[in-house]
Amino acid sequence: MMSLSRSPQPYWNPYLAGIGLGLVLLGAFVVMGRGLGASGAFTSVVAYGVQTVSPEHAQGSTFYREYLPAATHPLADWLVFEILGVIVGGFASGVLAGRVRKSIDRGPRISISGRMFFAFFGGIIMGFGSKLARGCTSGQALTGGALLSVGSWAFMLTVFISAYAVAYLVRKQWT
Amino acid sequence: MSTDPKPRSPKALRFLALGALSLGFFAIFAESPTPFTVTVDLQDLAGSIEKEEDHFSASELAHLIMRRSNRLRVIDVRDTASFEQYHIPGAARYDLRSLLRARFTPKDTIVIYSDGGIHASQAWFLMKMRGLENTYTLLGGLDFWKDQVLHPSLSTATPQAIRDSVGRIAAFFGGAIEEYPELRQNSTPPGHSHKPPVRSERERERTRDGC
Amino acid sequence: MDMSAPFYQFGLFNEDMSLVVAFVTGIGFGFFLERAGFGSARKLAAQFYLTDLTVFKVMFTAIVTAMLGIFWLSWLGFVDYSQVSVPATFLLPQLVGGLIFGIGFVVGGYCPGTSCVASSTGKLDGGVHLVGMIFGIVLFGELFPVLEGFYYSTSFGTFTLAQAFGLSHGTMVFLVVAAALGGFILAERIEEWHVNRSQTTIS
Repeated sequence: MMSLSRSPQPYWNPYLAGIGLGLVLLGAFVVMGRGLGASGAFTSVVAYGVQTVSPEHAQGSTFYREYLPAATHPLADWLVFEILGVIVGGFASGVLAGRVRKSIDRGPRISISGRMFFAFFGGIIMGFGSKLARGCTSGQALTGGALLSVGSWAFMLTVFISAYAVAYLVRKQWT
Repeated sequence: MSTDPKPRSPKALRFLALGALSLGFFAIFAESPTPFTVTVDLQDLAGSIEKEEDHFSASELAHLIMRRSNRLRVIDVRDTASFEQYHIPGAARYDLRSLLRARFTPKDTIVIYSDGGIHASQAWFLMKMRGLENTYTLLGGLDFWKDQVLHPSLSTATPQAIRDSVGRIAAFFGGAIEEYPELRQNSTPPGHSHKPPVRSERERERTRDGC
Repeated sequence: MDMSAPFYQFGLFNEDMSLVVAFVTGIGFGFFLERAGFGSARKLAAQFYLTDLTVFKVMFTAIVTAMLGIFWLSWLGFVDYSQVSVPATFLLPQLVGGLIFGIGFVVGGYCPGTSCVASSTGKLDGGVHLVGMIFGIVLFGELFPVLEGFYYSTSFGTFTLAQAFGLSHGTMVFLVVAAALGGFILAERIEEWHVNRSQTTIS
């Protein structure tokens, strides 16, 4: 990567980045009549995977079937394409700021394998929680938050409560 | 990692915050966003009722649900207690007032049901007035649903193929076929008939209220 | 038909075009997430140790921006608010889902969207988090028959804060803006306090 030699630029002011993010969300409302999402895209991928491995199993589950539209290819989904865009957009921003490099983000007190275990384990918990809540920080907190959905605000509230409650137990990973 | 020197521009930020605050403040006095006014073609409406394009039969709805169409919205307009006791899987409950404010898109296929059908028909009209073209009622309401999809009664003489397909649909929704010995007149399998099941006069009276 | 937004809902373009829109929207989304620093798990997790409240600031700035935007655009008659789909409320599953999600957030360091940005900017832990998330979704899918009853419980349909508090939509918008601005002032105070306390610059 050409950017590797440069030192990374500072992040944007959070309020400016927030306004940018809010305008993207607003654009989705205006153009599509819907908000953003992330976990839904991975559910489509999962449902498609299950369908490939065992069609009967996928068709027998009300959960997977919801993500397997009969008319179109299951991956020809709005959120799947949006997430592909997120990957490209994140990469573009990273390159421009000289922040793309192979690394593992961790605090000074945790080993690489320890951090990887936490990342994987945390991912499992998060995937499960996002499905139970019908969305994640994008689909619920941002989208539902801006549209004042009670469920989305309830979700946001408990995300912060439990993250603060558990933070002390995993402090070695970050600080 | 993050050597953020905090490039503060307090003036610009304060300006933005003030802008947000005033936009928020004036929102109090702004009229709430309301749906656009729609013009309803009464001829068209009457025509669709006459042509029986305004409803789905119970088995049609069952197939729609089983196909998991993304745009299908099944709406229950009965009271909370009845809803909690039983509702069609995936249905959402709305009272008529909240139905007026609920967010639907013209692309959604909306199927409204009540116990009998009258309450649903009233809701159907409201939805049409909102310009939601793809709104339907469930013919015969939950009564037909229970009789034709959930607990279809089949004669013991019904061919196995029909029993299998009807049974599969019933099982999908957690019901089962109810059998009775063959009678004189042949029973038609559910879904192929709009004939209401035989019910006592009193029960009929109850369901006529719709909700 | 006159110009009405949301354009897609009024049939201005087809499904294929909507996927192009999705991709472009995603690029914007990913770009600003990375700009904010959300490609870094340490930056995200710092929120929960009160040393760096960027997550809170970015999230609520975005919410306020989009909320004010959609409110005033529909007031101007440009957008038909009733055609914007509001996530339905299923209160208990969402409360419990949030509790579980929060644990995953602070343990794993990312949320679904940010783990994509982390992966694409070379963070290996972001990729591992993504794989874990897929396992979590499979786990949920396999347990779904058991969870189904709870998943569909406490359904409120489309239910907004304004309805819940019996306020007008506009008043609720104002309260959210005011609360967010108050939160931002508090967040700045907390960060300053941390910088002063530790003397060393963490930021």
